[in-house]
Amino acid sequence: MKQKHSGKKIMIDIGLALLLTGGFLLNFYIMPREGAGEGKVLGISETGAATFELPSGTMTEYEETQPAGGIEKAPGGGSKSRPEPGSRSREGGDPDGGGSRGKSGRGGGNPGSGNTKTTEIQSDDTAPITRTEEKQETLLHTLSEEDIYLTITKTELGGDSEKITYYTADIYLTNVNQLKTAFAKGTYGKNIRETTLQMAVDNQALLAISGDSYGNNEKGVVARNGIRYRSETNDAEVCVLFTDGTMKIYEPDQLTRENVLEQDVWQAWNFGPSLLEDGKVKSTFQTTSYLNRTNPRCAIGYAEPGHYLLVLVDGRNQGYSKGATMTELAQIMADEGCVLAYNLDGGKSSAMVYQGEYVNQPADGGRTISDIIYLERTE
Amino acid sequence: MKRRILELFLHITLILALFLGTMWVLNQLNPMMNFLDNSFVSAMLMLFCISSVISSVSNIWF
Repeated sequence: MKQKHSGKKIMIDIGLALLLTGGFLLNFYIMPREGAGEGKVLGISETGAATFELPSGTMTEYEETQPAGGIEKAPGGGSKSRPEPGSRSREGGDPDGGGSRGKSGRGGGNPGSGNTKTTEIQSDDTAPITRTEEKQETLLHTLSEEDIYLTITKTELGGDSEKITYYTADIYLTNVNQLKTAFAKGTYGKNIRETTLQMAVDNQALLAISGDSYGNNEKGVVARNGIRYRSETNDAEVCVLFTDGTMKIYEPDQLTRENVLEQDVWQAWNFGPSLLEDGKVKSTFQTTSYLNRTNPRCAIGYAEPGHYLLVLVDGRNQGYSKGATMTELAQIMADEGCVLAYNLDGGKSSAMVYQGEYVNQPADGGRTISDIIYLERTE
Repeated sequence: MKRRILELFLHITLILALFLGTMWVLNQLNPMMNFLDNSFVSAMLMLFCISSVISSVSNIWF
């Protein structure tokens, strides 16, 4: 009799634990909450930013058209005839070329104190798929205007179950303020979400990709369009785009030590990890084993001030694209000519939109997210 | 009365253990969601510690 009574009490406790869990998830991860943010203005690019010239030379090879069905390149490849990075002069920017990691060494183990428990995951240098001869590139879109030069390319690597399909937006800008970010519903806060497509349309974006999903976390640096919203770091690396067009990736403690968030920051993303070191695949990634699995991916790359790449790898769709591990993504970014690359939120969040239409095929139809990176449509 | 209060702490310990265990599993599945790095969960962890100490000491003592 007593055991039956105790069993009832235990069942009530389990029920209360479930209620507590449900209430917690509802309050912290589902209910939208607007946040005031710090609202500290760091660098408004409109006036003080460096300006860049668009590349010359091979510009005439592309027309301002959208090829029907794309222009296919022969299997095995050949690279796209991109403008030479050296063929453009720049008035501003990092005198040493930028892109360097101002890092003062790193210890082993877990470098941070946050709970994401990022650790140094060994790069899998066997990753055969990115070295495959089976490579097919298709030019999907080209845009050449006064202040922007953009190509979007679809690349297919390998075949059958190992096939990877990814999309590269190769962007040249005259001013870094053209590379913008937007919050879901135009509001900074937690659990406020929209699809990449909705945000792209709302902001009249020419091109948009999913961002770092800042709204999922309580901590993490958020600086957008020259305004700092959050400066508390977690243990993930932080990617910073400065108003002079340079991009750098910082360890959390280094970011605090160097007071980076008091400088002329245009954007700061907090997801990671950093994928390249001086244009080469890093030997270890500051991430978790969960994030290192084969998944749809989204990444931003930096070649030089004013020249950026947005790469989106589709996944979870066997025969079309399996997705990429961190090493494979890093190899892709290196092959695309980046000197610096940073992983953004992947999985179902990964989406690329060009002129109001999805470029890629988001896994399971995609999901709603808290922010995008986009290029504004110019009239 | 004393017995009832001590029993209450046993129930609190059980409820919080189940809650924190669930958060730990969720955090393993998706660490970037920071299920454990949260002010509410930290407060629950502290409460769990206090209630565990009271329950254990009372069980040993009495």
